[in-house]
Amino acid sequence: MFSILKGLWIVFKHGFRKRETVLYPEERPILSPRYRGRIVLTRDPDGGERCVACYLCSAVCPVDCIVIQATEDENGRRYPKSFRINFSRCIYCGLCEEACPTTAIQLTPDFEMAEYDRKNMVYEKEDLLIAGPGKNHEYNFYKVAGLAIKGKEKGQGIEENEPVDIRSLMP
Amino acid sequence: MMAEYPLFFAVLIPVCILFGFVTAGSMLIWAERRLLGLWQLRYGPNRVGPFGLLQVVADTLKMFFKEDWIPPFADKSVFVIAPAIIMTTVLLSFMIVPVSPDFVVFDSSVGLLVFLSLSSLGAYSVVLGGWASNNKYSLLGGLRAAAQMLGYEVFMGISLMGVVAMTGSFRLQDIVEAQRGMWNIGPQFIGFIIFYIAALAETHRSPFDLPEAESELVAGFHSEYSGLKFGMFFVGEYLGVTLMSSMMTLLFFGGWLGPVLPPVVWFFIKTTILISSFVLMRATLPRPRYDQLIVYGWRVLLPLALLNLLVTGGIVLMFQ
Amino acid sequence: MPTIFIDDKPYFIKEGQNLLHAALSHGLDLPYFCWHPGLGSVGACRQCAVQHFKDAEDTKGRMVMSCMTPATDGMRVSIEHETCKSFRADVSEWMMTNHPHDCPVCDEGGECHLQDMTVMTGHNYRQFRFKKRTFNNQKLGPFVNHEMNRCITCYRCVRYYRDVAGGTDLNSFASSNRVYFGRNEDGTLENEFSGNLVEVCPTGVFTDKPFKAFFNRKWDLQMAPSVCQLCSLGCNIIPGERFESIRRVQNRYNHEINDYFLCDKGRFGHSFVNSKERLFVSMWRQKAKDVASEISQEETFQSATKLLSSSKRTVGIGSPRASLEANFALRTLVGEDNFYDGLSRHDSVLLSKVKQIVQRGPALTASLQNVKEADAILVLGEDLINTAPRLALAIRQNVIHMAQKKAAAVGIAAWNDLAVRNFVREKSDTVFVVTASKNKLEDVAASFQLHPDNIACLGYAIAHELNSEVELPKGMDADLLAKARLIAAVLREAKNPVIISGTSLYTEALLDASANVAWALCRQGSSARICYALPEANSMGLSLMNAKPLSLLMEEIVASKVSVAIVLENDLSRRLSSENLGIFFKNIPSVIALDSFQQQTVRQSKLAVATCSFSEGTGTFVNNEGRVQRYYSVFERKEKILESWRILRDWIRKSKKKASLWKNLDEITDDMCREIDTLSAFDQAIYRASFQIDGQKIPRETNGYSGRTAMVANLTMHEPKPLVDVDSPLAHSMEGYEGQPPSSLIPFFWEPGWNSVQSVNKYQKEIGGELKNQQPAVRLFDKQKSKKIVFFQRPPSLFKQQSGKWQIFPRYFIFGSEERAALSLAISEHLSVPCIGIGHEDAQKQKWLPGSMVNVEIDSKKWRLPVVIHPELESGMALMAHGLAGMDYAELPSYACIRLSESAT
Repeated sequence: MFSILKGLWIVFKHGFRKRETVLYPEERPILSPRYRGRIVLTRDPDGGERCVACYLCSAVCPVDCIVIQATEDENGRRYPKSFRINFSRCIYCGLCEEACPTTAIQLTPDFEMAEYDRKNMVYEKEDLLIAGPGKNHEYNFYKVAGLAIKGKEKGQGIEENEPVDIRSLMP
Repeated sequence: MMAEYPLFFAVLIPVCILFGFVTAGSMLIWAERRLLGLWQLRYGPNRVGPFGLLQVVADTLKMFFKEDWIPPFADKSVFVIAPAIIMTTVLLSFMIVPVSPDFVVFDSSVGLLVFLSLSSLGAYSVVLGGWASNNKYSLLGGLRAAAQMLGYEVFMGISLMGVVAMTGSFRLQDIVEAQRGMWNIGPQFIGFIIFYIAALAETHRSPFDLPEAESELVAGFHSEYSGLKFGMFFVGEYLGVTLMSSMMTLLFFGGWLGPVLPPVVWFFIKTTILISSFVLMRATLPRPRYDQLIVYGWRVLLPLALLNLLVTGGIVLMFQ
Repeated sequence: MPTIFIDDKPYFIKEGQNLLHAALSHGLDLPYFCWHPGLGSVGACRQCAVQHFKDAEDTKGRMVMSCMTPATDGMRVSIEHETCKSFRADVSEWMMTNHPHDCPVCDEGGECHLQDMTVMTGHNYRQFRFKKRTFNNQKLGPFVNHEMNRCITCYRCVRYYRDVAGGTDLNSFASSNRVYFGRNEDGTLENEFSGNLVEVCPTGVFTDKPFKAFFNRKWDLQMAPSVCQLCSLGCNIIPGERFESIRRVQNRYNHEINDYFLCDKGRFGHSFVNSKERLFVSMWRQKAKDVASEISQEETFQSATKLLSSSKRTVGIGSPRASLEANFALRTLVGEDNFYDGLSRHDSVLLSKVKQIVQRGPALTASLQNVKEADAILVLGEDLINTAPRLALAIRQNVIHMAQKKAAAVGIAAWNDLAVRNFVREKSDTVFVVTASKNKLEDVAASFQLHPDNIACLGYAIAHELNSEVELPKGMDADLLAKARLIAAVLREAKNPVIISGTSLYTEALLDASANVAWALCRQGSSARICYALPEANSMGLSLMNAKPLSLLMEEIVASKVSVAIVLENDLSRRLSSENLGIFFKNIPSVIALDSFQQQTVRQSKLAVATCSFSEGTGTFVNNEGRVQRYYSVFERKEKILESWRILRDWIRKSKKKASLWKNLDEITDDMCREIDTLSAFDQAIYRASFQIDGQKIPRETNGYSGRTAMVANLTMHEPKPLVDVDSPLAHSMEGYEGQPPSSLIPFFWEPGWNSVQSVNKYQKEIGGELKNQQPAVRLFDKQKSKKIVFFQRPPSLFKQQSGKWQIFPRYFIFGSEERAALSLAISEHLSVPCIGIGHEDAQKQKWLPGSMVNVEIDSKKWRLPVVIHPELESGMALMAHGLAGMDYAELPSYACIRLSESAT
């Protein structure tokens, strides 16, 4: 009973405090870089597409609003042939960013995504892909992956030995 | 003056009461949201008109233009009647409310009993609405409302009997006049608390909004309602809040009594503060579990109300 | 029954199992890598360690490898014991030291045995700080991709490839931490079963190459239980679809047929449904010379019914690759008198002979499981690796099975793979393969080559040895007779021998001979079985329709005034000579062809109706042993294409004024069973559309199916309603019954913690045995048969060479002879080229070299083909490639002149 009264008193006191919210269009809030807004696809420091179409983001998406089709280019790099996010379904939970093994998919502090036509909420790969590396400036997945691509043959990755000579007789 | 133009006043007073309270009730739509905003450190509706005052108009207009949908599986006639019942009973209740000594529609010698009987009729609205919707959530909401209102109706009446015993009259003007020396809130503090809780439950306001608990019953008895029918439930609830606040003002806070200012203003101020306290409740308290609510009503409040009546009766008899 | 105690709980086990097998059979989770139920144990990976206790008091115990430890009565072991648990985690950690950081780009990811086992052992943090070992990859051809870095050296690949599938070109190289699995040099894997490496490899070293180009994770594929369309064995498959394309085909375990392995044709051939040659829209051609124009489904219906209503006589030509339902619908439309089988002359004759033998004789048909477990096998004439590949693998499995039996006699457990192989090193002495040319079973079986007629004579001679009622062919030489005697002696000793033959040599006497051998054995009291490789997936089903032979239609075509012919999913250019095909189209003014892809008949027909393929439609096949199996549609296209039977049904509704005929598959099935006696048991083979478990249908999509709300968002913001499947108990949805459905309705294998193909363990009653909800097979010819045996008499005479002429027999190819498989992208890179095979002797005599271009003349028709030398071929006969794209149909066997082409190089 006392706690109820105490609660009522605290809430009543709130009536004389500064408001936490701001009057949005006139005053713009400063958002943290970790704010979960519009989703982008980033590039690695070399400018290559970071997304390797591993399907983990689409798998983890609780509203199933990400759809990808993987394919491979002539250099052996796997990339998404199509990458579509239906933002009219997206709940901006950020699980896709958490699941991404290459830090390709990132949420940005841009939340101004309202549209008059729902169709405009469907973002294709060209709408998602940005020019830079986003929040992570270093990571380059193919440098640490075992897969060889053009420009990084077997053994040229980070922490990799030269390929084994299988015909060597040395023990 | 009233004696000179009885007919004129016989029309003017009801019209004033009707419009005054309905407007106040609908203004609550805005007032509640602003107050909630204030207490939750945000703004609330502030865009439409000065201070967002015209939000009420916008909301009402929106309500008018919503599709007035009757689900094909609903019991149509009952479905339509249900929201009308709540509006009717609440509005009828206002006729016994004396805003000032002679500003009253129906000066009844048993005004309090009229209020109690009309407010229990209000339960039908919710129960029928829940039933007619033919939707399991609505039905559950209706059932909850029925049980809740039955339970709380009982000691709501009993909690007021202390006031009646002290005054010796069911006439609201007499009750107010009897508070010239001291407001009833003093001697009848327990009665007030019980009536306040019962009033919350009667109007199914938070924290006693279990019949429409959105988290488990998706708006309960009015799930299927839209447009103006929903609006009637909606405004009915706010009118209920206004009615209960007015009643509390009359019964415990000396009604229109007060220095300097005219009686109507005092009545208005007191009622407004009480309404705000309803909103404060909503802003603060979480919803109890349904069984807790019922148990609390029957096992705690009912005995307490009886005890209050017993003690008051005893004291009144002692001083006679 | 022996009892073992695992973690103090008693478990009943089967005699002769190893601990791992026993534990997995009881549904316990024990990690393993090198062990595979189809391969046995070698104890290479050390992952399946368990603690073995002396007695109930012993708490320390000693660690043993469960796959190498026989489970004996009263044994006490622990899986959960701390010592072995941490050991297993350590083993995982060692394996992961060199495993690359590849999972996001690895096709195995999400259905990886290594991932599953690593999670199961609990290893989750890499402490190894040093550099990783790397390997260079090899290009292994169009089917299998090689990514050697991911290897964990379990040796499963070479054990499968060399020991089970009989390949020679995959091996292990180098030593210690540098062991490498690959070929001596880059090049296409030669074995016809190389695709199984994808499923056998527990990690991503060998992955499905065609799948790689448009990869999707397992959980994103829509899958359904299906049946291979590409040969008569009816192996069970799981096709996986995404974005209206069949992405890959996986093995669907069925212990009676294909157990763990498929052939490459079956695995990679089904992507013909994605081919450019697919027919999605119906075509109309006013006059023969016109260019066809696309017409809508409604227009198709209108023009077809118009043609039919004004037709004097309408004939229907069925198909051995269309479902029973489609053939039956066509038969109903045109009437039994006008229903022809759509087979070449020889196929008709041979098929009715096969049907007669399996229906009449006392010998039951053999399933692949019977072949695997037979104690003697005789193959008469059929080149199995090319006509029924999985049957050839079953024979290899039989050889292993027999070796295990031999080893068991001296106390070596069947699962102890290496010991069995060391003990039995010689070829099988109970499998005899007699073919016209090399058969790729030489390394495991007693095998020799003869002219097809001579093979038949040998068959008669064997039958004569077994039962003198059978006539002995005249003029057989002593050598051949000795062989016949030897084979007869082995067969006589056998309890359940299997006689295998087939139709691919177009020699009826072979069928007679094989039946004689089987029946003679039955007469002796052994339960001999017979097995025929047939030309197409539903050849047996078609034979039940009592269709008239197509050759009969060709004989009367001029006189009979046929105005409309409906050709059902059949390419007549593969059934008729080009001359006859011309006659056909000339005499029939309106030819309506229904098919799912472009082919000769479709291109020439007046109305070409697009029908859906097996991946979008549901139907039923009868395989070579008479087993009734239903394949279920995997997905539905947005622009829905109807099944053949539905299109034909609409025409029947219109022409016979039955507006409510056959609303769904169940209704046509009922009608069919009522009309065709042989199919009366059919009902037990299928599940009706109303079948539900716990009030739910069986979902085709996994519960991780993703992208639902975005897949069509580029087209419409309104998510379409889930499709309703009125034909089957399966749902195009991820919602539904989540447990294990009956065996014939399993859309995919998955269990929590078991994402890889090895999750089939959890679906089996006993590992390697039947499935938990095994549905009893419906085999149409298992009914009571007359005990009275009437042997076929009049054996053919031995082959005598005709001077200057060669007797030409057809030669089938696994990659190319099936028209639809050839359309698949992967197989089209691996197609066999048209050629003529000549014996060594003849080639020397004629001074032809391999690759010399020759003209083959049969009845004034010429084929210009390169020579291929088959050293073993008898002189006077030649093998001409059959069914390859770009080759005209030839009536074989027939005599031909072969001359060096003038413009030869």
